[in-house]
Amino acid sequence: MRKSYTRKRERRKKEYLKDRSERKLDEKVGGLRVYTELEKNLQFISQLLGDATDLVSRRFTIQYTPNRRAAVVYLDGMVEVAIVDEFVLHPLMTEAENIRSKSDIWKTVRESLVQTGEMETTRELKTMVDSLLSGDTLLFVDGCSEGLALGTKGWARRAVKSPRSENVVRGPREGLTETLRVNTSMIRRRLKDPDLRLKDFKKGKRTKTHITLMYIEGVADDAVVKEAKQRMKQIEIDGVLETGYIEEMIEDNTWSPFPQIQNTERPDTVVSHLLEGKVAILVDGTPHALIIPAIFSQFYYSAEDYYERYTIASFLRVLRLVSLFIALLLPTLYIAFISFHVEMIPSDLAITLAAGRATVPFPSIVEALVMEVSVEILREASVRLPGMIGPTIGIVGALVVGQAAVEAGLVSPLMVIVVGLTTISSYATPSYSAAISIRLLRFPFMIVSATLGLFGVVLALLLMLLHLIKLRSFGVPYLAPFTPLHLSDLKDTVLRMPWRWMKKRPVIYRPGDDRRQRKEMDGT
Amino acid sequence: MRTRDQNGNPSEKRDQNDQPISTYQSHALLVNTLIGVGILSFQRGLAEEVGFDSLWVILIGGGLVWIEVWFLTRMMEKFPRQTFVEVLCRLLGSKRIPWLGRVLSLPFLLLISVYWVVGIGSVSRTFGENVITAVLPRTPIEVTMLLMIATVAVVASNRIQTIARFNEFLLPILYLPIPLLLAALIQWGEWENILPLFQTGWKEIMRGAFTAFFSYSGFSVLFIYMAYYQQPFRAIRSHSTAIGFVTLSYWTVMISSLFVFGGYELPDLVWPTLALIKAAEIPGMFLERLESAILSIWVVVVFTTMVSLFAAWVDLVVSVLRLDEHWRKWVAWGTVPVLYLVASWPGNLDQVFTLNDWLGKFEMASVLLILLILWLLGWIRGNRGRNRTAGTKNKDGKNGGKSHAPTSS
Amino acid sequence: MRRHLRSLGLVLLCAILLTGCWDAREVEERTSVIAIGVDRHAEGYEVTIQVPIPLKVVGGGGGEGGESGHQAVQTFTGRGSTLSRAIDQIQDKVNQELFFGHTRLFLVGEELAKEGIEELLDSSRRQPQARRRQWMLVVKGKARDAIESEPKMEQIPMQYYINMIETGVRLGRFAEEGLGAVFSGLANPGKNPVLNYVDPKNRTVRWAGLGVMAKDRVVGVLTRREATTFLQIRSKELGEPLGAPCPEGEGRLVFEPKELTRKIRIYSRNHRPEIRVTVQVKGGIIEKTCHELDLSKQETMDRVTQAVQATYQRRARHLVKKVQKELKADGFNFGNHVRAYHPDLWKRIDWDKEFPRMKIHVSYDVDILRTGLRYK
Repeated sequence: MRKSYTRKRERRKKEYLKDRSERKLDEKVGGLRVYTELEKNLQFISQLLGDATDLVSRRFTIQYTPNRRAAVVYLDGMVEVAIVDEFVLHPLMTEAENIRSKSDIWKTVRESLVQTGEMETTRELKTMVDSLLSGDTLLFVDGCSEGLALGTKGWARRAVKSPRSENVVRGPREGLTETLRVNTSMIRRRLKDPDLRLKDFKKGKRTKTHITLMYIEGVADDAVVKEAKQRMKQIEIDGVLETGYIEEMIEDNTWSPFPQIQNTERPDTVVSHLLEGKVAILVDGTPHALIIPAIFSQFYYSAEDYYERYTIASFLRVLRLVSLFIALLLPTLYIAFISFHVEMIPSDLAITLAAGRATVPFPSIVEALVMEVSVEILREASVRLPGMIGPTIGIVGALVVGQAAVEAGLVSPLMVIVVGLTTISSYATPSYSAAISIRLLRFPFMIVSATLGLFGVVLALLLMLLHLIKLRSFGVPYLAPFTPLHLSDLKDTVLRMPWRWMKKRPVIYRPGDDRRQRKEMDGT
Repeated sequence: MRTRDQNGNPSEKRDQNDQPISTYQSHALLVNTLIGVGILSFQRGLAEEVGFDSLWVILIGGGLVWIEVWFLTRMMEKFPRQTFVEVLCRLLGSKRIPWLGRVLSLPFLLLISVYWVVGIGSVSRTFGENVITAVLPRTPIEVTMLLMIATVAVVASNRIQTIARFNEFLLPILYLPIPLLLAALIQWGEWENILPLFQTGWKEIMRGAFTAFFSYSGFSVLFIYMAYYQQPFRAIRSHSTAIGFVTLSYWTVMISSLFVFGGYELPDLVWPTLALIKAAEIPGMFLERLESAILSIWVVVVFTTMVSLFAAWVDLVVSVLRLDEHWRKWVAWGTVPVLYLVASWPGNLDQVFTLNDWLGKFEMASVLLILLILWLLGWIRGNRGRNRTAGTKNKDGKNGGKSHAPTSS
Repeated sequence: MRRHLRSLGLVLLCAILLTGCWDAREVEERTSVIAIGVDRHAEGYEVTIQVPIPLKVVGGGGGEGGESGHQAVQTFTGRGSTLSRAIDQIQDKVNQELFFGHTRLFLVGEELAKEGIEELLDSSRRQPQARRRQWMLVVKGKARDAIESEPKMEQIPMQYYINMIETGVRLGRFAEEGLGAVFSGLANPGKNPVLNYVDPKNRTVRWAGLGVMAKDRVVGVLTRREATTFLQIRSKELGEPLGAPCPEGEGRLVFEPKELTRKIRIYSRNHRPEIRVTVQVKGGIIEKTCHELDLSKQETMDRVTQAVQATYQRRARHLVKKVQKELKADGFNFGNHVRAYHPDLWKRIDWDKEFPRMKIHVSYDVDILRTGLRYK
């Protein structure tokens, strides 16, 4: 069902793209060769880019009898101008005496005059334009039917900073940046393994975003790698600005509220997952990496779990799991207890609750929905608010509005506590995307609870469970290792056992090389 | 060991969701199927029949069921990867008349499907009655029943493997009410309440054991599920542990209720287990009366029973009619009205319990009958089959019939 | 997958549309009854209930502090031929639906208790709302007076009763008999329930002993002093400290039991049961007003032990006589032991007839382990 749907969607997208950008570009450049006349080339590029103001075409002469006209073309701001000046223009303009003969001129330029590491010779104008757009410098020489694309990429980059979303107390402070190469370098630095494989894709008909798939050959499951490549290949879209695009295009079930692919800002997390036999996808232009496959449990794991001592890590994990349940079910249970199962509340508390709710004009479901929605608004607003005001407004909103609402008799005091606890608990989940889906799921549960009490909640939970059981991420069941049960993998789920015990990689990912620690290490 | 079997095998299908049922899953499946609505009220019927001796008669019931499951498992082991629908068709049919097997096997299939369909209906009715008396007194029973059946239908329209994993995940939930039962036992239990033992005659005891069957009913789903087992030859162990576990659970509940209520009060309680939880108090708990909470857990327990029966029924229909995978959904939803009618059929609670009693015995008997038929057919066909193979070997001239060898060569 | 989600949505939708929340009643929409009192009335029963007023208990909104006594609760009375008829009458007087899920006290007037409560209890056994863990008390005089009494220590007067009973039970002085115990006592032919007996005065309430029942009728009341011995034999409770006269001279000794074991032995003589109870009590001296006595000496201790033992035994003799001859009801639940351990004997005899004339012998074995912080 889903497959055919995606297929249909993809086909439609393909047709659309063909119609617009592809065909237009093809008409203009497709199959065109580099002109022998220099001016024609320059004119063509300038025309293609619509006389772009950041296009720099520097014409000059190669001092060799007879003088040859030549030109470099680059986009201002995309290239390291110093490199162009010093290693391209300077040698070409001053060291032309090395050229021995007329026929030799192109070869000499290519092989000894231009001094950049990355260089590509091509006859295709389309390739030239692509290179130009991704920050290369083009070199044309009059009378040559080939052009040079010189690797002079260089633009303003953000420095490597600590990640915004996954903070740890203990552990590396580096976060991924927007530049793909910096990111891959950060991963390489941590993983000096010749088996580390990088597979590049260019996705986005217009953005031509650089995407890299990383995995350790021999550790990652070949089938997953193959599947990931396959799904990557199928993507047809005009632009990829963030990993979210890729995530949605390659995940198994787009309709599920649960994330089936993890994203992270931390290079160390990426490496630890690569070591477990997973595949990472890095996208140029965003500091997030995707990790596939993903299971439900790993959304309450934090990188720190593996850096802290295992007792503390296990305790924190249990805590996070508890908070996950609170975030999902606390308002639901509140409604169920208040309006259905009053006898479950201790009688003293029941009197207090009744007193607190005596002035509240709404049933508990309305009260809960109103409060939850307003907290969601508050939370959303505090993200949008500029800089320093955000947290302040959050506190002011929560405290002042909550207090005022209680005093006005609009909500009961316990409701405020419930909402507060729920909100705080949802922040305890390390994965933001999982936390969001839990926040979302809370609402249907509240409604079911208001109609049928705990009975309905349990039925709804069972349906959710069914969905989770059917869900899978790149062939790995979402609820593994709980179901299907893999006893050895349970060591790193709710609790984290000491490293000494986890000699093997998790089997659910079917790693090629399943041992994490060798036998020799047993004694030490 | 097991994991390597599952993962190391390259020829296996990629999708772990379609993995055959593992040994642990089969255990979970059987436990969840057997522990059902019976756990809410089995003590009453038993105490009525045998009084204080229910304490160990429940064990006899478990033992008898174990024997039957043992035969069932041994029988189905002989036909790995086949449901009894296929087995029956093949054994009853002949090559010349392909439809004969299917037609001849229909009565037997009907027998067992009557049990399944009526079973699901009566389970949902019983639980519905319990829910409306204990927690939702104003909600019409039709709503609780219908919701339950509809939700079960959603789950049961999935593949058997998915249902096995569903059960696997839910198995630990069964353990949750146990501390509470023990709390009641410790707080209110009296030794004098379970005594005197051995006061009833053999007749009553046998009748009591038969009454206990309903609590253990549902094992007939193995006829279908064993076809999906990864290692049918290991099933006997997981089935035995499952029956043992179920018996132990029932025994724990029985002993707790006897300790607390004694043999005299028990027959007067419609839902003894619920009363047991009413009696229990865990000091310092945030929640005071846990009936609703425990009942919600039992929703799960009852739910799994219904799902097992329902999925077996769906699988049976799908394989008899040779339908596609996606037909499961339509079969499941098509059955919902029937189930609802069955569930509304008994006029009052007493009739529900009578129906349950009858169902337990009916399953026992029909499974026995089918096993007998399978065994007989297997024996007849097997003999003939062996003759035939012997015959072919003779023709090959490799094994016997040396005297013929010269003529054939 | 998508279809599956659609069906999920369908079920949720059904849940919302079909059900309209029949059972949703908010906590403040229930008149939560904390205690029920039932008296005999010409019409049948007179039922009095106590309902806490939440806003008054907590102190409504502005923090003026909660109120107590009858400011914080309201009592309602209704009459009817049966318990539920009477409650129906009360329902007409309250603004919200009555809710018995939090009822923790069931008071029965003395008159009614003597007539029998079996019929009264039927409704509590049938209604799922009623707790099995409710305290059931027999009230001297009318139950209505108890509900209208005003002990000051708690905001809700009935909470005072509950706490009082629970404390007494914890100390082992009162009978731990709630509704549940009454139910099983009534069902079991070898058992009889026992109820705590309270005496409400205008401002205070006093635990005044135990009401011993013959099945569902209270046949007599045991005083505080008798109750201790009774509970020791019946349910191995410690009971209150025992005052014994000094072996010599003036003054008294107070012995506090700390540990108690009880053994019931049943003998069959000529097909008639005979019961011997041995109670072993260990404890310490908590007060001594006899001056001459030096507790550090072994022989003195022996004599003191003897004195305590004799007092216990004297009381037990008295009690057994009273229960056998006066009350004629097996409050000790000996019948249950005979039934459990000697089923053949039990089948042969009619216990209710047998009990008053059978031989019951109670012996005490006292051990004084310590004498508190004083040595002598």
